Amino acid sequence: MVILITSDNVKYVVEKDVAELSVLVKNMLEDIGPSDEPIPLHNVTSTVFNKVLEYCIYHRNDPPPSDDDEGCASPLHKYLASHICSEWDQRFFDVDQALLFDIILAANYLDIKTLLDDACKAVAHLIQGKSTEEIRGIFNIVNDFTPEEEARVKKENVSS
Amino acid sequence: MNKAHVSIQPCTIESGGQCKGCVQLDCLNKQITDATILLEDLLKKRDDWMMTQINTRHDPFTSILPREIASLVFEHYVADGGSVFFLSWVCRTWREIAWATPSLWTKINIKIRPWNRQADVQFLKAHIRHSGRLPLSISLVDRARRLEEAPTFPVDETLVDTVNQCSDRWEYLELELDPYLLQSFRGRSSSEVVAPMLEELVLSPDFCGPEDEDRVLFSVGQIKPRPSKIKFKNMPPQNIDIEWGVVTSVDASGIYLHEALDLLLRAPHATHCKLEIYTLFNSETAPPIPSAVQHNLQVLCLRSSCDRWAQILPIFTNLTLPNLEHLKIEGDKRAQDLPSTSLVSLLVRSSCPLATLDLNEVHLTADDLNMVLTAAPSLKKLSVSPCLPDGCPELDPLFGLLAKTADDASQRFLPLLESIAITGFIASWDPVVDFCLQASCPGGRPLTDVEVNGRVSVSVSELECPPPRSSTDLSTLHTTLEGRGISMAVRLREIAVHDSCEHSTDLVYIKVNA
Repeated sequence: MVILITSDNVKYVVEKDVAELSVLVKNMLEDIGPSDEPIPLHNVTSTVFNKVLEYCIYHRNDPPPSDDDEGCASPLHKYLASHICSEWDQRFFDVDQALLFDIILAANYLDIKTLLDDACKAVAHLIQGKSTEEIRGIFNIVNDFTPEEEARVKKENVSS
Repeated sequence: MNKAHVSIQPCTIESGGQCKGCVQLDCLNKQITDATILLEDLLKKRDDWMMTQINTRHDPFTSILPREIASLVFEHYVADGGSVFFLSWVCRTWREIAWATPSLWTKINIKIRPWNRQADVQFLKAHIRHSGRLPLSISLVDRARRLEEAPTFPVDETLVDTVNQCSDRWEYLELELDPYLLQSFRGRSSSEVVAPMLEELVLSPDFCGPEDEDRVLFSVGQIKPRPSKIKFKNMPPQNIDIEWGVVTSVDASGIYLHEALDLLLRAPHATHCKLEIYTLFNSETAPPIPSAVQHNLQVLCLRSSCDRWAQILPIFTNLTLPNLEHLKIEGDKRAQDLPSTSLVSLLVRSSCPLATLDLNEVHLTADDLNMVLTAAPSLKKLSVSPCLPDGCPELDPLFGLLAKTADDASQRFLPLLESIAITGFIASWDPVVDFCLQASCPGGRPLTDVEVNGRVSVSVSELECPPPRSSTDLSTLHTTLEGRGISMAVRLREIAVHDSCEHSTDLVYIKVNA
């Protein structure tokens, strides 16, 4: 078992194989060797870590990413090769926007590649099929193009 | 009149200067001008800076996510079919991220339209420019010309030149164009190795007859491209000048029989091959058919575009495939003569470890089926979807063989069978049930999926509720299988048939989570 402490001082006792889905934790465990010392997770709150842990427990037995996934393959290639997100994943990422972005940051900090990829996919899904105006609405973005810029931008060919 | 720009003739009332009123008016005009300049500055500041500043607070892509992760989200968006241009229209920051992420620009799909040539070239150039030095996936499709049946219009030369100029970055190249145009894609003339990164090539010229064979040509550079995958149609393989020795996957349609055999000899390392074969209108002009042994082919999918399978019989009689693992044969209603004997000869001659057999839209008899399956003892997955209604085999003999008990597992018929999905006429469900239950016997088959669509001929009065064709209550099969510790997905569906009327009922439907 591994003891992890989040930034708001909540202690978690986690099975080693689950904790080691995080490359950050795995490297730290290798560095400190056998020890009962808790590992601090400075950039993750317990609210977010609960979700991260839920994901890691569910996916603990997934096959590790292949060399192609690790290496130079682009998301396009990975997307074509990857499975479609399961119903469980869809439910898991059906959270408010702020939490979704916090999960992304936590996955990036903890270095959990599959969670980072899946969470980014979930955000991409939010904007898929939406118009520019709708996308601005979703993320509370204002149109900062000048009228001249906007006229120029809209001339760009998107149709092919 | 706009009072903000009030002006009058220069004052002449008082000598040596303007009157007091004119001085005040000039002063006000100056203040208004200054205020206007200030207002314009403020408006510009709002447009140029403040809006962007607001976005840095509001937009999570700017305020929360590091740039590389914002890029990753965009990559997923584009990979799922979204347009990179839409992203760059949202706001300045999104535009900057989109323009600075080369991987968003590597997939270039152009549907050529005569009224859109300039825009197509701009679209292509934008992608090439923003994608840096990354490998490119380029697809040029000209369907409009075919659909409109309009006279051929020349594809913009600049477009072809631009595609050629980036041939050192071609990773995937798809050309669905007029046949004569393929010759124009010759890559960068300045380099010897023209397309070093080409991994997959798709050539789909519009239909051309034998007279067009010489002019349908794909050839680039002195050193041939080395794609591992090739898909082509309506052109002879010898007119595709690539290093065939490294090809592992071939998908060819609209080719003649002799070309199909020639193809397998040209690509000796192909492991996957999908062939849709035409026959020559005049078989007297057909060249002799070579025999071929292809040692690496593992997956073969054959589709006939002939009236009769007999017209492409040599594909079964002249071919030897010692490593074939997956065979799919697709026919259609016209071809009623699946050459079972020749198919058996292929399997026996090849002595291959066939694990999957998929017979789709073929005409089969019970004897045909049993003969073919006897020649494939290593089979793990069987799928049979015959032509309805006339091409359907009787299934009772097959399930009779499958249900036969054997003390020695090696003596069992298809001992390795894991999955079966089959449609045919059935007289009794009893052998099917016995076959399912045998999975619990010592050395029983590792069955996971059984789907049988049993057709039965009935009278009109029996159509809705045909008489039972099982000596046991099929609704208890689930419990019986569970009791024997068998986890298996089973679907037994009875299709009562009278003339053209059909009524299907699920007798057993056990779903098992994958």
